Amino acid sequence: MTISLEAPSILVVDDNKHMHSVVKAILNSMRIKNIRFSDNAADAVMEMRQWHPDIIITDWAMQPLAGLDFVRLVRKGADTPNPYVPIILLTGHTEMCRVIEARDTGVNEILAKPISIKSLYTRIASIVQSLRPFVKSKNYFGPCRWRSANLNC
Amino acid sequence: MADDDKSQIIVAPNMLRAKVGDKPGPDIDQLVASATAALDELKQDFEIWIRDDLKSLRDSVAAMHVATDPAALEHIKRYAHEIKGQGSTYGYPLLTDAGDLLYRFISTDTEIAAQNLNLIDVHVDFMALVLNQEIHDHGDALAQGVLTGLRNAAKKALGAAAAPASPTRSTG
Repeated sequence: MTISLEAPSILVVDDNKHMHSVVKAILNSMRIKNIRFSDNAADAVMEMRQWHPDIIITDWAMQPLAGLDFVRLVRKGADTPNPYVPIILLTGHTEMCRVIEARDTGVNEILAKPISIKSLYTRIASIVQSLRPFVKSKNYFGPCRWRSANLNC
Repeated sequence: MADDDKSQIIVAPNMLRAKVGDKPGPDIDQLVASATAALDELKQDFEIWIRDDLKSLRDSVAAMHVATDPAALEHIKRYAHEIKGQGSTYGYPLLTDAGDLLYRFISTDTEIAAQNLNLIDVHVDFMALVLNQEIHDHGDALAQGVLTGLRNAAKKALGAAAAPASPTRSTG
Protein backbone atom coordinates (compact mmCIF):
# COMPACT_ATOMS: atom_id res chain seq x y z
CA MET A 1 0.00 0.00 0.00
CA THR A 2 1.25 3.48 -0.80
CA ILE A 3 1.08 6.50 1.46
CA SER A 4 -0.55 9.78 0.61
CA LEU A 5 2.00 12.44 -0.30
CA GLU A 6 -0.36 15.40 -0.37
CA ALA A 7 1.19 17.08 2.64
CA PRO A 8 4.94 17.50 1.99
CA SER A 9 6.31 20.67 0.44
CA ILE A 10 9.04 20.12 -2.11
CA LEU A 11 11.65 22.48 -3.53
CA VAL A 12 12.97 21.44 -6.94
CA VAL A 13 16.37 22.88 -7.89
CA ASP A 14 17.39 22.53 -11.53
CA ASP A 15 18.82 25.00 -14.01
CA ASN A 16 16.98 23.27 -16.85
CA LYS A 17 13.50 24.78 -16.91
CA HIS A 18 12.18 21.92 -19.04
CA MET A 19 12.94 19.60 -16.16
CA HIS A 20 10.80 21.78 -13.90
CA SER A 21 7.80 20.88 -16.06
CA VAL A 22 8.70 17.19 -16.12
CA VAL A 23 9.22 16.94 -12.37
CA LYS A 24 6.11 19.01 -11.68
CA ALA A 25 3.99 16.71 -13.87
CA ILE A 26 5.28 13.66 -12.03
CA LEU A 27 4.90 15.17 -8.55
CA ASN A 28 1.40 16.42 -9.33
CA SER A 29 0.48 12.89 -10.35
CA MET A 30 1.55 11.84 -6.85
CA ARG A 31 -0.90 14.51 -5.63
CA ILE A 32 1.96 16.66 -4.40
CA LYS A 33 0.83 20.21 -5.02
CA ASN A 34 3.05 22.16 -2.67
CA ILE A 35 6.02 22.60 -5.02
CA ARG A 36 8.37 25.46 -5.73
CA PHE A 37 11.24 25.74 -8.19
CA SER A 38 14.65 27.35 -8.20
CA ASP A 39 17.05 27.37 -11.12
CA ASN A 40 20.20 27.93 -9.10
CA ALA A 41 21.66 27.22 -5.69
CA ALA A 42 21.60 30.83 -4.45
CA ASP A 43 17.89 31.20 -5.17
CA ALA A 44 17.25 27.81 -3.61
CA VAL A 45 18.90 28.85 -0.34
CA MET A 46 16.80 32.02 -0.35
CA GLU A 47 13.68 29.94 -0.99
CA MET A 48 14.61 27.66 1.90
CA ARG A 49 14.81 30.65 4.23
CA GLN A 50 11.41 31.97 3.27
CA TRP A 51 9.46 28.80 2.63
CA HIS A 52 11.03 25.92 4.62
CA PRO A 53 10.47 23.00 2.24
CA ASP A 54 10.11 19.50 3.72
CA ILE A 55 12.16 17.89 0.95
CA ILE A 56 14.58 19.16 -1.69
CA ILE A 57 15.04 17.55 -5.09
CA THR A 58 18.14 18.85 -6.83
CA ASP A 59 19.93 18.12 -10.06
CA TRP A 60 23.67 17.40 -9.97
CA ALA A 61 24.74 19.06 -13.25
CA MET A 62 23.93 22.72 -12.62
CA GLN A 63 25.66 26.02 -13.20
CA PRO A 64 27.15 28.14 -11.75
CA LEU A 65 27.07 26.00 -8.60
CA ALA A 66 26.79 22.23 -9.08
CA GLY A 67 24.22 20.19 -7.19
CA LEU A 68 26.76 18.69 -4.80
CA ASP A 69 28.12 22.15 -3.96
CA PHE A 70 24.55 23.14 -3.16
CA VAL A 71 24.24 20.07 -0.91
CA ARG A 72 27.47 21.07 0.89
CA LEU A 73 26.07 24.56 1.33
CA VAL A 74 22.88 23.17 2.87
CA ARG A 75 24.60 20.62 5.10
CA LYS A 76 27.64 22.60 6.23
CA GLY A 77 27.16 26.24 5.26
CA ALA A 78 27.56 28.72 8.10
CA ASP A 79 24.18 30.29 7.44
CA THR A 80 22.30 27.26 6.15
CA PRO A 81 18.55 27.56 6.72
CA ASN A 82 18.13 23.85 7.53
CA PRO A 83 21.07 21.43 7.52
CA TYR A 84 18.78 18.46 8.17
CA VAL A 85 16.41 18.87 5.23
CA PRO A 86 16.12 15.60 3.25
CA ILE A 87 17.73 15.90 -0.19
CA ILE A 88 17.12 13.74 -3.25
CA LEU A 89 19.79 14.09 -5.93
CA LEU A 90 18.81 13.63 -9.58
CA THR A 91 21.72 12.63 -11.73
CA GLY A 92 22.79 11.17 -15.01
CA HIS A 93 26.05 10.17 -13.32
CA THR A 94 25.48 6.56 -12.36
CA GLU A 95 29.08 5.42 -11.96
CA MET A 96 29.75 3.90 -8.53
CA CYS A 97 32.43 6.49 -7.66
CA ARG A 98 29.95 9.30 -8.37
CA VAL A 99 27.25 7.63 -6.28
CA ILE A 100 29.69 7.29 -3.37
CA GLU A 101 30.74 10.92 -3.77
CA ALA A 102 27.09 12.00 -3.61
CA ARG A 103 26.39 9.82 -0.59
CA ASP A 104 29.46 11.17 1.22
CA THR A 105 28.35 14.73 0.54
CA GLY A 106 25.18 14.11 2.54
CA VAL A 107 22.35 13.40 0.13
CA ASN A 108 19.57 11.19 1.45
CA GLU A 109 18.61 9.55 -1.81
CA ILE A 110 20.04 9.37 -5.32
CA LEU A 111 17.84 8.98 -8.37
CA ALA A 112 19.27 8.22 -11.79
CA LYS A 113 18.00 10.02 -14.87
CA PRO A 114 15.91 9.39 -16.90
CA ILE A 115 13.51 9.71 -14.00
CA SER A 116 11.54 6.58 -13.19
CA ILE A 117 8.15 7.57 -11.78
CA LYS A 118 8.04 4.59 -9.46
CA SER A 119 11.58 5.21 -8.23
CA LEU A 120 10.87 8.85 -7.43
CA TYR A 121 7.78 7.86 -5.46
CA THR A 122 9.78 5.20 -3.60
CA ARG A 123 12.53 7.69 -2.68
CA ILE A 124 10.06 10.24 -1.35
CA ALA A 125 8.08 7.60 0.55
CA SER A 126 11.29 6.24 2.03
CA ILE A 127 12.22 9.68 3.34
CA VAL A 128 8.77 10.16 4.84
CA GLN A 129 8.50 6.73 6.42
CA SER A 130 12.01 6.05 7.61
CA LEU A 131 14.06 9.20 7.81
CA ARG A 132 17.55 8.17 8.81
CA PRO A 133 19.31 9.76 11.81
CA PHE A 134 22.08 12.23 11.12
CA VAL A 135 25.73 11.63 11.81
CA LYS A 136 28.12 14.39 12.74
CA SER A 137 31.78 13.46 12.67
CA LYS A 138 35.08 15.08 11.87
CA ASN A 139 34.74 14.33 8.17
CA TYR A 140 31.04 13.97 7.60
CA PHE A 141 27.72 15.57 8.31
CA GLY A 142 24.59 14.08 6.84
CA PRO A 143 22.14 11.20 7.03
CA CYS A 144 23.56 7.96 8.39
CA ARG A 145 25.20 6.16 5.49
CA TRP A 146 24.13 2.73 6.79
CA ARG A 147 20.63 1.95 5.68
CA SER A 148 19.68 -0.77 8.17
CA ALA A 149 17.95 0.54 11.27
CA ASN A 150 19.71 -2.15 13.29
CA LEU A 151 23.17 -0.93 12.50
CA ASN A 152 24.93 1.30 14.93
CA CYS A 153 25.82 4.45 13.00
CA MET B 1 33.48 5.88 4.86
CA ALA B 2 33.64 4.71 8.46
CA ASP B 3 32.50 7.47 10.72
CA ASP B 4 35.16 7.96 13.39
CA ASP B 5 34.78 7.07 17.06
CA LYS B 6 33.73 10.57 17.97
CA SER B 7 30.74 10.50 15.66
CA GLN B 8 27.63 12.04 17.08
CA ILE B 9 24.26 10.55 16.20
CA ILE B 10 21.47 13.07 15.90
CA VAL B 11 17.96 11.63 15.90
CA ALA B 12 15.54 14.41 15.16
CA PRO B 13 11.81 13.73 15.46
CA ASN B 14 10.35 12.81 12.08
CA MET B 15 8.00 15.77 11.69
CA LEU B 16 7.45 14.84 8.07
CA ARG B 17 6.02 11.46 9.09
CA ALA B 18 3.63 13.20 11.44
CA LYS B 19 2.69 15.71 8.74
CA VAL B 20 1.89 12.99 6.22
CA GLY B 21 -0.03 10.84 8.71
CA ASP B 22 -1.43 7.42 7.91
CA LYS B 23 -3.69 8.36 5.04
CA PRO B 24 -3.26 5.76 2.28
CA GLY B 25 -2.21 6.89 -1.16
CA PRO B 26 -3.18 5.68 -4.61
CA ASP B 27 -2.19 2.31 -5.95
CA ILE B 28 1.35 2.48 -7.34
CA ASP B 29 0.30 1.26 -10.80
CA GLN B 30 -2.46 3.85 -10.86
CA LEU B 31 0.07 6.49 -9.83
CA VAL B 32 2.49 5.48 -12.60
CA ALA B 33 -0.35 5.51 -15.15
CA SER B 34 -1.42 8.96 -14.01
CA ALA B 35 2.15 10.32 -14.21
CA THR B 36 2.66 8.73 -17.62
CA ALA B 37 -0.54 10.38 -18.86
CA ALA B 38 0.64 13.73 -17.47
CA LEU B 39 3.97 13.34 -19.27
CA ASP B 40 2.12 12.42 -22.47
CA GLU B 41 0.34 15.76 -22.28
CA LEU B 42 3.76 17.43 -22.41
CA LYS B 43 4.73 15.45 -25.50
CA GLN B 44 4.34 18.39 -27.88
CA ASP B 45 6.61 20.46 -25.65
CA PHE B 46 9.12 17.63 -25.41
CA GLU B 47 9.56 17.66 -29.17
CA ILE B 48 10.32 21.38 -29.10
CA TRP B 49 12.66 21.13 -26.10
CA ILE B 50 14.67 18.20 -27.37
CA ARG B 51 15.02 19.85 -30.79
CA ASP B 52 16.20 23.04 -29.07
CA ASP B 53 18.79 21.05 -27.13
CA LEU B 54 19.93 19.31 -30.29
CA LYS B 55 20.22 22.63 -32.11
CA SER B 56 22.30 24.06 -29.26
CA LEU B 57 24.46 20.95 -29.40
CA ARG B 58 24.93 21.34 -33.14
CA ASP B 59 25.73 25.07 -32.81
CA SER B 60 28.44 24.27 -30.25
CA VAL B 61 29.93 21.60 -32.53
CA ALA B 62 29.89 24.12 -35.41
CA ALA B 63 31.74 26.61 -33.20
CA MET B 64 34.34 23.96 -32.45
CA HIS B 65 34.85 23.36 -36.17
CA VAL B 66 35.70 27.06 -36.59
CA ALA B 67 38.09 27.23 -33.66
CA THR B 68 38.96 24.96 -30.76
CA ASP B 69 37.16 26.42 -27.82
CA PRO B 70 37.10 24.70 -24.40
CA ALA B 71 33.85 26.51 -23.58
CA ALA B 72 32.16 25.15 -26.71
CA LEU B 73 33.39 21.65 -25.90
CA GLU B 74 32.01 22.04 -22.39
CA HIS B 75 28.66 23.06 -23.90
CA ILE B 76 28.68 19.97 -26.12
CA LYS B 77 29.37 17.80 -23.09
CA ARG B 78 26.62 19.51 -21.12
CA TYR B 79 24.00 19.15 -23.85
CA ALA B 80 25.00 15.52 -24.39
CA HIS B 81 24.45 15.00 -20.67
CA GLU B 82 21.07 16.79 -20.77
CA ILE B 83 19.93 14.72 -23.74
CA LYS B 84 21.08 11.57 -21.99
CA GLY B 85 19.05 12.55 -18.93
CA GLN B 86 15.89 13.50 -20.78
CA GLY B 87 15.77 11.41 -23.95
CA SER B 88 13.89 8.49 -22.43
CA THR B 89 11.57 10.76 -20.47
CA TYR B 90 10.70 12.41 -23.78
CA GLY B 91 10.10 9.02 -25.38
CA TYR B 92 13.42 8.67 -27.17
CA PRO B 93 15.55 6.04 -25.40
CA LEU B 94 18.00 5.99 -28.32
CA LEU B 95 18.76 9.66 -27.61
CA THR B 96 19.61 8.71 -24.04
CA ASP B 97 21.96 6.00 -25.33
CA ALA B 98 23.63 8.28 -27.89
CA GLY B 99 23.86 11.17 -25.41
CA ASP B 100 25.45 8.85 -22.90
CA LEU B 101 28.05 7.67 -25.42
CA LEU B 102 28.89 11.23 -26.49
CA TYR B 103 29.11 12.47 -22.89
CA ARG B 104 31.40 9.61 -21.91
CA PHE B 105 33.60 10.10 -24.98
CA ILE B 106 34.17 13.79 -24.20
CA SER B 107 34.49 13.24 -20.45
CA THR B 108 37.13 10.56 -20.89
CA ASP B 109 39.55 12.82 -22.76
CA THR B 110 38.61 16.32 -23.88
CA GLU B 111 41.76 16.75 -25.97
CA ILE B 112 41.10 13.61 -27.98
CA ALA B 113 37.44 14.60 -28.30
CA ALA B 114 38.46 18.01 -29.66
CA GLN B 115 40.62 16.26 -32.26
CA ASN B 116 37.74 14.01 -33.33
CA LEU B 117 34.99 16.47 -34.19
CA ASN B 118 33.84 14.28 -37.06
CA LEU B 119 33.02 11.56 -34.56
CA ILE B 120 31.05 14.08 -32.50
CA ASP B 121 29.24 15.08 -35.72
CA VAL B 122 28.22 11.48 -36.28
CA HIS B 123 26.74 11.27 -32.77
CA VAL B 124 24.75 14.46 -33.41
CA ASP B 125 23.63 13.28 -36.86
CA PHE B 126 22.42 10.03 -35.35
CA MET B 127 20.44 11.92 -32.71
CA ALA B 128 18.87 14.10 -35.42
CA LEU B 129 17.95 10.98 -37.38
CA VAL B 130 16.29 9.42 -34.33
CA LEU B 131 14.24 12.59 -33.86
CA ASN B 132 13.34 13.06 -37.52
CA GLN B 133 12.38 9.42 -37.94
CA GLU B 134 10.52 9.55 -34.62
CA ILE B 135 12.11 6.36 -33.35
CA HIS B 136 10.42 6.02 -29.98
CA ASP B 137 11.92 2.74 -28.88
CA HIS B 138 15.38 1.20 -28.72
CA GLY B 139 15.37 0.90 -32.49
CA ASP B 140 16.06 -2.00 -34.78
CA ALA B 141 19.27 -3.91 -35.37
CA LEU B 142 20.50 -1.10 -37.61
CA ALA B 143 20.07 1.52 -34.87
CA GLN B 144 21.76 -0.71 -32.32
CA GLY B 145 24.49 -1.31 -34.87
CA VAL B 146 25.07 2.43 -35.16
CA LEU B 147 25.39 2.68 -31.38
CA THR B 148 27.90 -0.17 -31.40
CA GLY B 149 29.77 1.60 -34.20
CA LEU B 150 29.87 4.84 -32.23
CA ARG B 151 31.12 3.01 -29.16
CA ASN B 152 33.84 1.25 -31.14
CA ALA B 153 34.90 4.45 -32.88
CA ALA B 154 35.22 6.21 -29.53
CA LYS B 155 37.17 3.25 -28.19
CA LYS B 156 39.53 3.42 -31.15
CA ALA B 157 40.00 7.18 -30.78
CA LEU B 158 40.62 7.00 -27.07
CA GLY B 159 42.69 3.86 -27.05
CA ALA B 160 41.33 0.63 -25.65
CA ALA B 161 42.37 1.29 -22.05
CA ALA B 162 40.36 4.47 -21.73
CA ALA B 163 37.31 3.48 -23.74
CA PRO B 164 33.92 4.61 -22.46
CA ALA B 165 31.78 1.91 -20.91
CA SER B 166 28.60 0.54 -22.44
CA PRO B 167 25.68 2.94 -22.34
CA THR B 168 23.29 2.85 -19.43
CA ARG B 169 20.11 1.11 -20.53
CA SER B 170 17.35 3.63 -20.10
CA THR B 171 14.25 2.57 -18.23
CA GLY B 172 12.04 5.62 -18.58
